[in-house]
Amino acid sequence: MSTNLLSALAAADRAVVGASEKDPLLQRDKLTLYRYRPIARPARAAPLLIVYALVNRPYMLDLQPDRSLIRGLLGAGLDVYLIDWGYPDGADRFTTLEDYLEDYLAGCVDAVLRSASAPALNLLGVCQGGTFSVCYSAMHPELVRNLITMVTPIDFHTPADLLSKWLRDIDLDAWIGAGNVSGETLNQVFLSLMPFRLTQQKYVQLLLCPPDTRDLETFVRMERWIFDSPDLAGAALREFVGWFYQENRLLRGTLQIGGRNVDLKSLRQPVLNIYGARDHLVPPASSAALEHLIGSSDYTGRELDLGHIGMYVSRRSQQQVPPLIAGWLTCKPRR
Amino acid sequence: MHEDWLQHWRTLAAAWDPYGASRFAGASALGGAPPAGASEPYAALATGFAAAVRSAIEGVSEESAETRASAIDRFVEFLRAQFSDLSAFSALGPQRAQQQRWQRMTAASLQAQQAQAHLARLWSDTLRAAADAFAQHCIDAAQTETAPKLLYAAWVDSAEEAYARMAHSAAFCSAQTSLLNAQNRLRRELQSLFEPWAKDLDLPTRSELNSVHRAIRAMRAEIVRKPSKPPAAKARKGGGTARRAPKRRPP
Repeated sequence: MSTNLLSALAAADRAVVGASEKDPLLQRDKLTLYRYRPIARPARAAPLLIVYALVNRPYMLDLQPDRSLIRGLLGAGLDVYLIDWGYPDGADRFTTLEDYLEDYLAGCVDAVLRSASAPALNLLGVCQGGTFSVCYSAMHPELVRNLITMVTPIDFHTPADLLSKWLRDIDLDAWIGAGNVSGETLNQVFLSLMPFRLTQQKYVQLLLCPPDTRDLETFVRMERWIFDSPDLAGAALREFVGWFYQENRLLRGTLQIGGRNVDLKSLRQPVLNIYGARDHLVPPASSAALEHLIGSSDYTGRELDLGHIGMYVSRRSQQQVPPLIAGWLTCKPRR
Repeated sequence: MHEDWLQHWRTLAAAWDPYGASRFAGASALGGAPPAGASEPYAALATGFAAAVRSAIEGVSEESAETRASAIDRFVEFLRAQFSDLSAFSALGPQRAQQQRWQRMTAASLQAQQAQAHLARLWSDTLRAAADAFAQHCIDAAQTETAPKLLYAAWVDSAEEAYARMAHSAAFCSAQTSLLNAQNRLRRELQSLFEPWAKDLDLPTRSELNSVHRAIRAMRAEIVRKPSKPPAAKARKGGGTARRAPKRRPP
């Protein structure tokens, strides 16, 4: 490795993540709900709450000014809120999906509605956060005006879903037991989905074609994000893997959370479902399955030629995704 | 005299058989009779031990020092062989739980080794398939792609395609699941191995901490269920606008 590249990498390591100014609106246990400061004239749309996955950190959505889904949404005049689930530790090992949805997410929805003095909001769920958003919207349809899902798994048994195949017969008692699962473990699993590309090629490319300073900073930010993986609360992960990956309850209509049925037919809000044709984590067929499960007659599906991560940070996604979401939301009536 | 002694051992062995069966660890847990053959290792142990003792006694009664030493060596070797594989024996006595744990760990370790060997074979097949595909690519594109970067990209494409085929196969999924399940079981057993040590040293154990966490969750749920302020105070502050009380349940 050349000295220049080494020093450039060292310099890039000081690059900070996060591009948009935000203020905490609610803090509970490890969770923080943020409200982003507006940067454009307000659009005529209900407040937008972004629900990110429990895996990895939500700053991916606002990595840097030119790679920021959130900045794109703010630029369209949307009132944006984001849930940061924080870093669960051993004290959170018994936190269940019911806690995440009916306590934490419900609390955030409540806080956003109070803050915006609105009767209902728009929900944008990303990846696992999209699955949560679908469940929440089905359970509380009166509080969600429009639902947007991005790279969201719905059918967990599609043929291209490698992760699902690997998790199908895992002994959850032995794996999770009563403890949390470390972020490092999950990282290893994700890397082993495409080991040659993810553990070798991208670093070799870095050596063969050292990028300019700006791209190097983006690379370092991405690296930081990829390996900034919180541990996952054991009970919730156990339920998520068991109910969704192993039993595919959401698709089968047998999912219950906190004793309540999650009936997707009661999801009658307008839905915008965005997924990537080249997504190796959530195959497009897994996301597209939503269309035929919900009760809504206002469904828009958009398959973009992007991968799972590229969906929020690639250059192309910046041109496509925020305008798609903002355009779709602002054409919906604000009751 | 030797015969008397041997007879004594045979009697003991015969008595041990039903005793061992009645005390078999699985019997009490299942509440029924032990599995067929559960006592066989003990009967074999007693019979083998008696034969080894007889041989040793006969040897040490010889005049030759060499013969005596050899007899003792054989007896020691017999004992070593007897204790080389505890996994064959039903767990009995005060160390029953520890023996069961070691037996489970041995089984899990063996399963992990087998699964790992299976995965290594599958990986080897994958790399061979990747190399074949890459070689074919090089032949096809010999005139157009000679830059190291392009060749390396072609290799990665070949390798990922071969890997994806293998990773999706039932054989790989099964071997990987088997490996992970065995490793996780091993980890669980190790954890339970350390718990008594922590207890002996009066250090908090994971089980105790789990109990504390469960108690805290239950208390929080109880607090949430009870109104935090009297209704009058709430009204004065203009409160009561909550859409609905946050829901928490004890584990």
